[in-house]
Amino acid sequence: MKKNTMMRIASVLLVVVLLTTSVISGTFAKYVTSGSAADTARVAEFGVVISAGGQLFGDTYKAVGEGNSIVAWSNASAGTVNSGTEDDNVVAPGTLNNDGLTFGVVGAPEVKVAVDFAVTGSDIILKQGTGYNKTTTSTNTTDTFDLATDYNPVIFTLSQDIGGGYTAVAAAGDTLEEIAAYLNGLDAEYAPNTDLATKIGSFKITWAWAFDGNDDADTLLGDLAVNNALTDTANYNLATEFSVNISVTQID
Amino acid sequence: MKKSNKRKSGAVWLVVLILFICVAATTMAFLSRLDNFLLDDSGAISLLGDSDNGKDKDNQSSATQSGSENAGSTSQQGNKKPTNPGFEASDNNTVWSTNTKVEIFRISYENGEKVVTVQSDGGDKVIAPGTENSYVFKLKNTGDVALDYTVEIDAFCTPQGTEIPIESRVNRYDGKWIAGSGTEYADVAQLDKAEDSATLGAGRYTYYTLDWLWEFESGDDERDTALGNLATEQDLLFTIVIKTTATESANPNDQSGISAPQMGDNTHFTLLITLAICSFVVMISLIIYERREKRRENAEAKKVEEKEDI
Repeated sequence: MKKNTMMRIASVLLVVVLLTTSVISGTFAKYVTSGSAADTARVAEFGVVISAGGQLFGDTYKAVGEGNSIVAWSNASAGTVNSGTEDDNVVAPGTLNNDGLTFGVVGAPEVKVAVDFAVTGSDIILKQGTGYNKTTTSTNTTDTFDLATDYNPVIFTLSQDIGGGYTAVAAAGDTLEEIAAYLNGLDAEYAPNTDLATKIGSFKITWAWAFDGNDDADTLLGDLAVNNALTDTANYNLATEFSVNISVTQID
Repeated sequence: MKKSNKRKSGAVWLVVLILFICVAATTMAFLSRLDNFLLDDSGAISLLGDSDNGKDKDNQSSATQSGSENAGSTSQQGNKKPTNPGFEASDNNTVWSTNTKVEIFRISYENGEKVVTVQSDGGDKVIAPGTENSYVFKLKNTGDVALDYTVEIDAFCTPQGTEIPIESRVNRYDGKWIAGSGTEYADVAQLDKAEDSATLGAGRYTYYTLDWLWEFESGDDERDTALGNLATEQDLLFTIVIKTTATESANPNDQSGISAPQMGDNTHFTLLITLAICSFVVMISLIIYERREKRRENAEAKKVEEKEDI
């Protein structure tokens, strides 16, 4: 009997609870309601760094055995080769630059980018020909020499480091004109998050003018630098220049 | 006597079974109603024509009708007592609660040729020159009484003082601009504190479109580059917060907003739940009754056996 009473009370309570729940939930629904949404974004990273260092030519050179090929100009008689004027860079047989000129691009931008190279280069050259006088002051017409091919006394080497150190790029050639053409061909677009250090990395240009190369041609070039006296100036170039301009631009 | 008890017990179990089926059926019906909360019906076409149970024929195809046009058509609902207000803010993917994370910004962006031009490295959402996006959010009155609602927008850069050249504009479905305009975008300061208030009739909805962009050719490449470079050292953040609040309107029969399409299922939600509860209670009662009967019969049978033994 006691159990039945308890069961009855429990049943009634269950029904009452069920009914009041619906009533209470209805009451709550009448309050003020609100909602909010938010979103945050950060500025995408660019962080591309274009660097350049070192120097390609110098105004004073020490002998190879004395360490660095280019040294700071101190006076007109310093070193084994000296331009005579500070900042007036020169090259001569036996000079070289193993430290070279370096330039490169690093960074992994979160945007698509285009990398553009604007490179120019010109070389010292004595062009293929016959009957070159061994010196510009020579009057002896038999004292001549021939060049079967163009003579580029300064041999350049382009190396690239995309991780793991510099490696010579054979395809780039060994004149500044060829190297410039090679670098200009590296223009490319890169997808976001491309690590440019592994695609472009760092370049280094080194060079050497062999001391024991073509003595006749070397001497003529040296004399020409003083007199500049060949009748056909199209046959030679006495100045070597190199300029590089790299730009990394976001593209849409 | 035993035969009669058995028949009685069988009948009770039959009733219990029927009630159980009823409970199952009503539960299923209840669950099917949940679909209305999960599916976005903003693009659906009404199957019944009028969405207000045939009360407002003028609003039959009023997907673009403004609030002012509808404000006066309230007479048919004059007798209906508002009892169940409900409000829902959502987008195509999410129903908002508090500070719900939504997709105003993105992890990556493509250009017109479907080429990815900006991609976050770590899965964060990012912005960059040339990026843009549109975000549409919907406010829906899910109750049976008109609501006054407010939309407020906060926009800010972090760290404070950082100037990110994001431009944006916010447009209501009926053409009202609450930031910027059709030809001009607003800067961050103008977007911040942009707000709109209106009334939403029972069962009606409204939507807003937030467009933002970081111009690719803003004319200040140096600033853009500096921001991109600085971003490698610290997070430069841009945040947009959209807050909505709704309260019962002083005019509970206001019909402003877009009429929600009617899908053809007019089953009363409350009735289904009541049915389920009643069925459950009756089922439990019958089970208890049946057990008590059994116990009583067993006791009687025992008494008879004892008498026979004596």
